Amino acid sequence: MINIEPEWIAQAQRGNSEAFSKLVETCQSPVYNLCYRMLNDPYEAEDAAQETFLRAFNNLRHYDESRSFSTWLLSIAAHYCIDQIRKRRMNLLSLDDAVYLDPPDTAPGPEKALSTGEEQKRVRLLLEKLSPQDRAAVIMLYWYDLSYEEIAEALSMSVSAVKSRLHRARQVMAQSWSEQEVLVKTDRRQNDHAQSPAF
Amino acid sequence: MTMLNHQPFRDWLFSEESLNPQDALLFQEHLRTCEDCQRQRLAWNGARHLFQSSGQVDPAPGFMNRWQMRLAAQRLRKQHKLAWTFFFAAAGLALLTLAVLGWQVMEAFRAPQSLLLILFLRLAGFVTLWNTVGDYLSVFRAMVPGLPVVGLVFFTGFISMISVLWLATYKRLISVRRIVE
Repeated sequence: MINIEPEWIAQAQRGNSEAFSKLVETCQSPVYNLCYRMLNDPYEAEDAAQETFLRAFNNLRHYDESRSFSTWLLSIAAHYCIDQIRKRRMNLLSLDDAVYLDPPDTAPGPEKALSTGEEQKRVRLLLEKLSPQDRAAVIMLYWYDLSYEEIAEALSMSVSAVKSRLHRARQVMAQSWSEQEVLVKTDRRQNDHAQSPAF
Repeated sequence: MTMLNHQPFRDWLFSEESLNPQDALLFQEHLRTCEDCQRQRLAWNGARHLFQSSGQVDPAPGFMNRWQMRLAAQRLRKQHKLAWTFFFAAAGLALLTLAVLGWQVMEAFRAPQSLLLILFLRLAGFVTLWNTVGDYLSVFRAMVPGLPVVGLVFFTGFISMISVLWLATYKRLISVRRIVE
């Protein structure tokens, strides 16, 4: 998934911060993407991604070399995001009240930007129906192609729990997709109606 | 079709594990007849396709610099924390010492007779020591009549210096010489 030189990890473990910087440069996009998909906010995602790298840097001596480094990083990011969502819920902040901000990704043209924005919004609507753990499992499976075993290890749960969570998540997302389709069709019908020459 | 025999198909619908040929055939047959399962399958396929096509979101440019700044800020915070911890530990130790000393002084003031007795005994001890040293010195001066006290001090110092020099020389002489290749 991510091309990481084992030598960088070894050097970073010996305290070489330049080697760790290379790791940050290589892994920044996957880590940020996971945080963005989990938190649905580019500023919070940036903060979470930075915090993930800080935690990784501070705990590099605990990293088990038999595991994939990128999976270890994603695991730190997922746990941090799950905690953030819990804190957010404790502060009684609803995702529905939060203003939706487009990710800072730049698209080539306005049409593409519009379609990308729509797409991202639909992804956000699908993912926000899920519990934080289910969301993390879905992101790890569909964006990073991690195996059930890797997801289980990253989220500190059993393989059967991962399978069960994913099964439930797919059901919820299928339901949500159906609801979205109904809304999209209604919107289109209203737009067509408003643009018709009779009005 | 009852919900009881409908359930395995619902499970297969959202499971991404491959079915055996017989189950796969049964599932396809069911999908042809069950509209609800068809809708669910279409919905899930739409969602999955969206995930696969939406790609990865990148952070804003300059992520690396911002991370390095954050790392530097964290290191500074750690240093400050360490300095404050050291300061508070030292202050705590000083306060503890002061408290112990204060307690001892209070105890002494509470029973001044014992303090005076100790002071008197210490003073007596000093006087005794002074007299003993004086006696020794007088004996030594009697043995070396021509030497004044200052000369005696210089003589002793000279002897000590010579001893140190002798020890240093001896150490150098007995040490293993380095062989230069």
